[in-house]
Amino acid sequence: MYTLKEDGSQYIVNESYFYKTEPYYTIVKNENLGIKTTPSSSDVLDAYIVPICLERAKLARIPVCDWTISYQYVSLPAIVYGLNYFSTPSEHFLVADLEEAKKAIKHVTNRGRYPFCYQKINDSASVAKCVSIFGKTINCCEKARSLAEKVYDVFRLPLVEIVLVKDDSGCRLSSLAPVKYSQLSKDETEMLQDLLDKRVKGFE
Amino acid sequence: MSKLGIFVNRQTLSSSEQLLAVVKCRDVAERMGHTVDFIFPVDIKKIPKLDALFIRANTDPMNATYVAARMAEMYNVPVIDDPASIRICADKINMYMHLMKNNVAMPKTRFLKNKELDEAEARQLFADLGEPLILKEPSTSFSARVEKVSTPEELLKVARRFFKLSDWIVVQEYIESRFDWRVGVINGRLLYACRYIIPSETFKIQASVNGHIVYCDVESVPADQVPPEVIELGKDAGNAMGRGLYGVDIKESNGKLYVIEVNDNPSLEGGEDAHYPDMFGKIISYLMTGDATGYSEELSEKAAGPQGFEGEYGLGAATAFASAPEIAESESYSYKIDFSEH
Repeated sequence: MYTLKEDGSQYIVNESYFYKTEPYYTIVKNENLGIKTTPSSSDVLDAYIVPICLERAKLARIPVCDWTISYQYVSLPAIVYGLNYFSTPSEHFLVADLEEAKKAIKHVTNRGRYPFCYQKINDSASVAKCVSIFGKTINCCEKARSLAEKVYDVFRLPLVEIVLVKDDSGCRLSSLAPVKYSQLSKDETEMLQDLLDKRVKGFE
Repeated sequence: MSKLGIFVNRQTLSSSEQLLAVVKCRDVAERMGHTVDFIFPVDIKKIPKLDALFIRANTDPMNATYVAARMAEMYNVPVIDDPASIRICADKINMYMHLMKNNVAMPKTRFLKNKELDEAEARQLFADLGEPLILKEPSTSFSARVEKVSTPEELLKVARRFFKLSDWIVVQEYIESRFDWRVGVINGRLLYACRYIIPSETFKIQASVNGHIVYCDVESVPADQVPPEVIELGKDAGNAMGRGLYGVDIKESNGKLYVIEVNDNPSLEGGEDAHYPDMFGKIISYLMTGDATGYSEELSEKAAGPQGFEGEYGLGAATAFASAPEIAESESYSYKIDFSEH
């Protein structure tokens, strides 16, 4: 975990900001001490909980996938996400037929115990991912680059994976997920390192 | 006429006490001139069209109740519990930090980080906080994952288990008492007060003893019989969290009062309101007008019949409820996932 100080705010840079993890509690502690911290505890929860993420992005005029919460019913094809204590936006399932949907939904709902979130997509849609480092991307198309900048303005996550759905109508946000340092490309690692070298305050 | 949404889920409906309480709440709201919709997780997109939302399901930032609360907040719909209250109260680390920040009397408390856990640290905690100690996993509710430990070895064992669920946990001095005060607070004002009588077999309000769940008894106490300092401490603790609805647990030991915890979404179905017939009216009034004191006593008396509240909260109402999510889903979508085993 890296801690940067800039513009009177403390930036917490980490692979993930999951609820009840060390980075999350570092943010909560700072907030209780009155230290302005980026991202905020509210922002990280908003970002990682798919329906909240999409609704907040929609209000900020970011194009998003339409989402639905369900216990059993699903329109196909769809992207399926869990919505419970153990789910993560890193784990999503692209389902095209009923058998695939059944398997994925059983998994993410713990056999129907919890609700799930799905996004109906077009038959021609594909899922793409790009990494945002302080809102900047490398080797992404113009639409994804613009979307990453808007996502950073709203959620302020220094490091995040943006999951996108691309189809004939364009490029829409599906979710925001944690990034593993090991998943970063060489160029992305260099960009992150460069930003950190310039501004790092401490390394824990 | 305003539209109130009451957010419920399967767990709410599986308890007859909770079911009766939400139906009682609906009856009061309707007598106050509002219409009421029960909102299930599948109905979350209806929230922006409501005038207010009252969440009656176990809250946590990681479940659908938080989605409901944030939806309401994003669309400026007044909501109990508001998202900030859920973030603070559903997480014991955040909740105790708020009490500390506001100098509210509480047991001596430390936050133990996963990376700090070793035998020396365990011994130091006993030296600082005394023996025995209470360990809490931050997401505990209904006393689950709250354990008493008497030796550093026990502490290490329990802490390792809790660290599988959270990177930080709570270590607290043990305060012994036969009962907890529960002070219900809304918008910084007293809503109700009662005592939770701790079962003799345990130190918690709910515990599994020899495979059987034992529950505390609830004893509603009229406001004029509650020590004023208990009410004041309850209000201080509520104000440290926010302006919503909270249930503050207070223990008394050796003449001193300690806030044990502050709950958002406090239980309202255990008879807490026996001496406070206006309880639901005040909650609804606060949601609809921002003023809990605006609710009329007269209206409350009209709502109450000889055996409690009038209105249909019997079996018929329960049946109507239980089918609601299925109806909502089947109207719109074509593929149903069957979870049964063949």
